Amino acid sequence: MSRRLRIGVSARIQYGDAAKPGYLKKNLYYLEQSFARWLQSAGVLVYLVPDVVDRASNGLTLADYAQELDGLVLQGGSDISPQTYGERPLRPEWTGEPERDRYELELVKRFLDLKKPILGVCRGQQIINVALGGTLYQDTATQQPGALVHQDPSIYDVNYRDVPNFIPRTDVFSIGGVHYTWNKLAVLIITIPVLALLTWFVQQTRQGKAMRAVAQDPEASAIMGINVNRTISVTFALAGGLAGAAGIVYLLQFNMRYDTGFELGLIAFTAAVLGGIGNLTGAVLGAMVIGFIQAFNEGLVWYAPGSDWTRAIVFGILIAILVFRPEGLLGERTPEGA
Amino acid sequence: MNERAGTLLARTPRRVRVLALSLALILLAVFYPNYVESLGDAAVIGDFIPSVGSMVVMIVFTMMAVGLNIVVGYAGLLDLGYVAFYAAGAYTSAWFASQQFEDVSFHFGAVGLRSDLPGIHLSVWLILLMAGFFTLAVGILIGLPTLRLRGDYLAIVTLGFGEIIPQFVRNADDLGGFDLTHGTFGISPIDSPGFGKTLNDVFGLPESYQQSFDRTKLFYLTALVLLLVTVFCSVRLRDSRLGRAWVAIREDETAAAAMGVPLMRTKTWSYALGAFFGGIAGAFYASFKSGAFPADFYFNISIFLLCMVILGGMGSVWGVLLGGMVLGYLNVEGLATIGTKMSSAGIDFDPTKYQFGIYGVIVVLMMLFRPTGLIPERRHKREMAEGAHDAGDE
Repeated sequence: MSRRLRIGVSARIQYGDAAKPGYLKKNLYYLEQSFARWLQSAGVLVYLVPDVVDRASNGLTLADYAQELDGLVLQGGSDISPQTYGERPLRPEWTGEPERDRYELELVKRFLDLKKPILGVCRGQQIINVALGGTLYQDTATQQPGALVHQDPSIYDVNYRDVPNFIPRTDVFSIGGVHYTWNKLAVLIITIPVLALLTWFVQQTRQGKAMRAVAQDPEASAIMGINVNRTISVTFALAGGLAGAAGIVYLLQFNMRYDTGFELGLIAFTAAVLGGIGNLTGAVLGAMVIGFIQAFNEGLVWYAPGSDWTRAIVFGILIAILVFRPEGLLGERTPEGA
Repeated sequence: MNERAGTLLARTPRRVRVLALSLALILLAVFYPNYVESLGDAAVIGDFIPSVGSMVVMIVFTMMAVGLNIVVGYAGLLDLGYVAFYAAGAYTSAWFASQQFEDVSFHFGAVGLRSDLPGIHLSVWLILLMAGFFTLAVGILIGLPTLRLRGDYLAIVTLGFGEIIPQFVRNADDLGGFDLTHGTFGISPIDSPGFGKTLNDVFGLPESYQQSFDRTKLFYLTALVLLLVTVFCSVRLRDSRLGRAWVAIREDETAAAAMGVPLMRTKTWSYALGAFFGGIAGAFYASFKSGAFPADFYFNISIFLLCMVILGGMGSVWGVLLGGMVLGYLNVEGLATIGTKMSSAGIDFDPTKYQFGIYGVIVVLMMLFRPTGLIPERRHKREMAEGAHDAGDE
């Protein structure tokens, strides 16, 4: 591996703000923090590319930036100004920021000249469209009735929280550009002892034995003097605790939304059934199988259908396995499962 | 109620009482669009009266719940993916009554359209039947390999199908270059039902719902007819040989098999017939909304329908009708109305944001205090009363 990739990010512009002492009339170029984080999570160097004004730049142009950088990411922002694609704004307040449009269009064209990759986010996609000669609807909500709502502030912005990296994302080791970071190692460091502990609990302790007995036959266990309701409560508490631990581990690596748990719960249920309900090793195996299917499907984009089809593939395989092996991968045949 | 009327009521045979009650309800329902306006002006309750348009949605969802009840209530097979059948029905409408397939132009019995409009346009009445049978076939296809499974395993497989079909619909806009479902954009507009020019001239039946001033009312009456047919079929099925076989399987699969009930065939039938009504409801709803969008077919809907069945009383048609209408009402209009009332009373709480939480609480409370549902099935009720239910056996 030679050098790290260098990715340029187009700047957002904060215009002078009468409420901010020191910047009453000065403009700011700025970069959203999460943009930098996401890009850096791929191990690339992130550069903010400010606009270049010809007469004050001593011959430097945006083309020089394109020359030096390996790729461009366009940040989001307000809608592109209708004038930029040759239309008059339907409403006076839709004039946008023609100045920023001009600068970003120029930037896109210079990267296109060199055939370097460009990723547009939100407004950035509008810019790419216009740079390649396209036009836009000025406002989807009024011009295309029935369209989906683009921004849902309650999930997009208002409730966004930053989570500190309480385990650093620095390398443990790296082989040929593949970086193995501490937060990834932490997943294993947490998961393996927890699983070992759980196995010990279920197989060795009295409570674990009671649990298995209740699973097999609640009435018979009650006759044997097991407090069935208490056992069920303990099981639920244990399951809840494990799910909580999994949530923390997940957060070490990914972002979370209010409905992340639903997705994961669905997959967890699937993994447990796939491995064979009631079998801990089976559940781990099932989860690994699903994880690998997901990773290969989403990672090997040239050979696999990609993330659009992940759920269909995961559940398709699950159904196939259950049809031919209803007891799951490692489960034993029981009257329930057969 | 005075004493004489009481004895009179007690003396009438049960069958007559049920018939009279049903007739009264049907009459009330048929004339609903005529008196809804004056009801809406009534004090206090006026604001809580659902509009005719909302009623259509409620009825469609209730129809699906009655279909689901065949699978879950009668045959006792937990189905977490009923939304797949809804999707299959809706897309049958979308394929055969829209401009989706622009390369062909085929018209058969379609009303209110230019005859040179591209795409396949069949009569919506025909499509309702086609959707039923197409979905029935889908139900059999899903059922055959999976119905050998029991309990959790069957639930997860149905859930799997409930996830696969919407995702297929969402992504099938480029199957080797062929646009089958138009992806996330969905397919719209979809033609509306109608009786055509000839029937309009002779009997005065509406030519096309879409072009009629009474569009919503016509859809409402049609939905009502469909629901009544569904309920009628459902009741007749329950009392048939097949229905008794379903109940036998639900109560004890092993004993039923020992008595000579063919398990696979009986279960598959419950799946197929449950799917049939889901398909018709889906196709009708797509025509009413004039569109089929993949975002309509979330897992939520499956659970929502299941809540209706559980709330009403598993296996009890009248219960499911009630449960469906209650939850349907809350979902379409009720929660929003309550929210408006609360905010005008100065309480800052929007119940529509917590809708699934609220349904969840309702179901949990029902399970705690009235586990057999609002109107329990008679057999279920007896079991609970006698304590004859075998707790160890699900």
